[in-house]
Amino acid sequence: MGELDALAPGHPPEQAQLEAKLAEADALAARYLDALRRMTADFENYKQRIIAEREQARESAAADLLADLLPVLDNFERALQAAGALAGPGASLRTGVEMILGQLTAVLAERGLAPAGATGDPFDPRLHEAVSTMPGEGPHDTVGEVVRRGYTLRGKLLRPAQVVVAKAPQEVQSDE
Amino acid sequence: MSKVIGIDLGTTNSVAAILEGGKPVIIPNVEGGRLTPSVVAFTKAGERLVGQVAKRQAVSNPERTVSSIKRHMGSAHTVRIDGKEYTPQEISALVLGKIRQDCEAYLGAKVGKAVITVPAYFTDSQRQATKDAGVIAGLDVLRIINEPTAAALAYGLDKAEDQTVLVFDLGGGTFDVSILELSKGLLEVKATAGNNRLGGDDFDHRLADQLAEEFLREHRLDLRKDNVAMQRLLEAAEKAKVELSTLLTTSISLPFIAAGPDGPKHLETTLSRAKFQELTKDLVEKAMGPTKQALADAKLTPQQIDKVILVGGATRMPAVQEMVKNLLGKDPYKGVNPDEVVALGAAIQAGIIEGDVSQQVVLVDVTPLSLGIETLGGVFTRLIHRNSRIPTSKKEIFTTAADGQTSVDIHVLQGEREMAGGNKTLGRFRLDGLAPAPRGVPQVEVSFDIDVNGIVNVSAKDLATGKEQRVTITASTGLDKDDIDRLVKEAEQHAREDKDRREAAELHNHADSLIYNAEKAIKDVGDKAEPSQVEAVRQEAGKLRETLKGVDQAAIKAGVEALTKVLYELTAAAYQQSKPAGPEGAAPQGETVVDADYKMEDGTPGS
Repeated sequence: MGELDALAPGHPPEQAQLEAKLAEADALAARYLDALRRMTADFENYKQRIIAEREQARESAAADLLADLLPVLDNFERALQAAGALAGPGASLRTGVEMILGQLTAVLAERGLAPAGATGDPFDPRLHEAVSTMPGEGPHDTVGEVVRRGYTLRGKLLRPAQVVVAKAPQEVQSDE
Repeated sequence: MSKVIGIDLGTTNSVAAILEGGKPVIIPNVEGGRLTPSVVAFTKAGERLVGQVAKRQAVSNPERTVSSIKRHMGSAHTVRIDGKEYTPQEISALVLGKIRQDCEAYLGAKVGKAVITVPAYFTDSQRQATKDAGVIAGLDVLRIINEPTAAALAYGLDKAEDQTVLVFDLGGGTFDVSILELSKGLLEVKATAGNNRLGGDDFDHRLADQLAEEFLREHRLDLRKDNVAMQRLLEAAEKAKVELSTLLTTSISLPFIAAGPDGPKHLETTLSRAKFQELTKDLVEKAMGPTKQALADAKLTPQQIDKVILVGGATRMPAVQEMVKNLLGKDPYKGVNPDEVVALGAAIQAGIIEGDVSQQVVLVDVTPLSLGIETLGGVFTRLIHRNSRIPTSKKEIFTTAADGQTSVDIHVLQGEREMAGGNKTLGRFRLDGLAPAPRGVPQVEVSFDIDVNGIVNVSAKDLATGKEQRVTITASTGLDKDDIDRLVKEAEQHAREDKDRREAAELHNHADSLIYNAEKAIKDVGDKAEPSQVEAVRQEAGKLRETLKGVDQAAIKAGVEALTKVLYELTAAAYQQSKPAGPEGAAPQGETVVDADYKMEDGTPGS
C-alpha cells in the first residue's frame, strides 16, 4: 500500500480507475464465490435428498400395492362378521374363509404390515381418524369401536383406523 | 443461507413449493402428502395439531378444531378455544408454521422467506391479515400475490406476448374465475367472480346421495342413517369421480354395506361418465354464471380471451373442461397439475424476487450432441448424452472382442445416429500392450471428461497393467446451432433404419459371443456330458457360424435360439455332474463388464 501511495501524486486518475476496477473485480469474485458456495450446498442437500427419496420410492411402491389391498382385507373381515351366526355347513365354510384370511394377513405381516387401533386404545389422531363419538368412561378419550381397521407398514402409518371415539365424561371440567 | 418458498394457503388445503435449479417443485409434508389440510386443532392437553392429524380428530373434538379459516381472513371474527381468543391470522399462522417446519425438514435448510398467494378478490385488509399470519409464523413475507397470477406464472405466461388470460379455479370447496391482462410482462387482474360454496366435494356428495337413493329403492334400507356406511359410500363416490375423468365407465363395489333382516346387503353398480355428468349437470352449470359475469365485468367477449388456465382438482372433470371450452371457444391450457399450479407459480415468483443466483452468475451449459465411442459391429455407444450439463464426466468399462487381443482402437465420435458411421469422428487413438487373454477378460476403462469450455478429454486405461492413453478434443468444433439442429433432425429421420442396423449389429455380436461360449463350453465341460450333446452343440455352432456370414436376421435369430437350447442342455448336464468351479470362467462378462466389445483389430492373434 505504501508503494502505491508513493506513486499516487503522479497518477491520481489511473489509481482511482484501478482501485475501482479492483473493487469491481473483488465484488464479482465474491459474488461468484458466494454463488458457488450456495450451489455446492444446494447440490449436496439435493444429493442427500435424492438418496433418501430413492429409498422412499422403493418403499412406497410396496406401500401403494398394500394400500390398494386394504379394502379387500376390510371386505374379508366384513364377510366373516356377516357370517358370524352361520351354523351347520355354513359354519364350516366360515372357518375355511377365516383360514384364508389368516393366511393373507400372515403374508402381509411378514412384509411389515401391522394393524393399528384397537378398542380401548387411547385416541390418537396420528393413528386414528374419528368418524363419530359415543359416551365413554375413562379419564381420556379412547377408541370405543374400530369401524375400519388401520394399518402401519414397518412403523409408518399406511392408513389410519376409522374409529368411534369414546369421549371422556365431564370433559368441560377437566379443562384448566 | 435461508430458503424462499412459495405457499398456496388454501381454504381446505395448502401447498408449498420451491424453485430448485430453475424449476419449481412441490415440497411434501412430513406425513409424505403434497397437500396439507388447512386445519388446526388444540387437544385437551393443550397440544396443537395441524394438517392431516388435526383433520382426523375433528369429529371427536369439534369445539377445538378450526377449519376453513381463510373464509374469515381480515375480519373481526375470532375463534374461542379453552377461554383463549384466536384471530384468523393466528390460526393461519399455525398452518404456515407447520408448512415452514416441514419444508425445513425436507430441504435440510432454514426457510426464512415466503411468497404467499391469496384470491384475486381479497381486499387490502385480507391481504394484510395473510401477511401478518406469515410474520407470526416466523416468515418474512416477500410478497402476497394473486392465485390466478401465480397460476399464469406457472405456465410461463409472464414471458409471453401481451394477452388476456382467464383463470378458472374450481377447488374442493370454492370456485373463482379471474380475468388477467398481461401487458409488458406484468399481469393485472381485470375482473373476478366466483361462488365460495361450490367445489369438487359437491360432486362427491351428489353421487353418494344418488347411490344411497338407489340402494333405498332396492333394499328398503337407508344408508344415510348409517355414519360408517355413508363414509364408505362417500369415499367410493370420490374414487368413481376421479376414475371417470379418464375412463368412460367405472364400477362401484361395496360388499356388506348394510345388514337387512334377510342377511347382508351389497352395493354393486357400474356408472358411466354420461350418467355421472347427467347427475352433476347443474353443478357444472353453476360455474357458468360467474364466468360470464367476469367476462361482462371485464367488458370482454369470449373471443377476446386468448388463453384459459385451469386450476383446482375438480377441473380434471371432462364435463367442466367441455363447459369451459364451449363457453370460451378454446381449449384450456393443460400440463401443470391443477392442484399444485398455484404453489408452483408462487415459488417462481419467489425466485424472481430473489433473483435466481445460478442464472445470474453461472451460465449452465450443455453438450449439444452425444459423445461416445465405436464398439463391435460399428455400433455407436454413447457415454455422454446430448443436453447433459457440463462440466461432467463418465466412465465405463469395456472389454476385448477376440482371444489374445492385445490392443484396442478408441474411435471417439459425436452425434445422434445409432451407428458410428453416421456420426462425426472427433479423434482416434490406440491403447496397446494388453496382456493376451481370452475375449471378455481384459477390462479397459474408458473415461470422458468435458470441462466448462466444452473441451473433451478421453482416456482409455487397461485396469490390469494400468497402461493409459488419452486424447483431448474440442467437442463443438465448427458446429453452430443450425448444424446441431440439422444433425439432430437427421438422427430422427434415420432413427428407424439406424435402430434396425444397430439391432442387427447387436444380434451379430450376440451370436458371435454365443458361438465363442459354446466352443469354450465344449472345451471346458465337454468330457462331463453325453457325446451326443457335445455333438449337437458343435453342429448348431457350426450352422450358426455359416448363417452369420449372411444377413438373414430371422435365420440368425433362429440359429441363436437353437444353439442356446443345446448349449444350455450341455452345461446343465455338465454342472449336474460337477457343481463347483463352473460359472467362474464366465464371471468377468457378468455385471461389471458392459456388453459392448471392441472392434477386432486387424491381425490380432485369434481373429
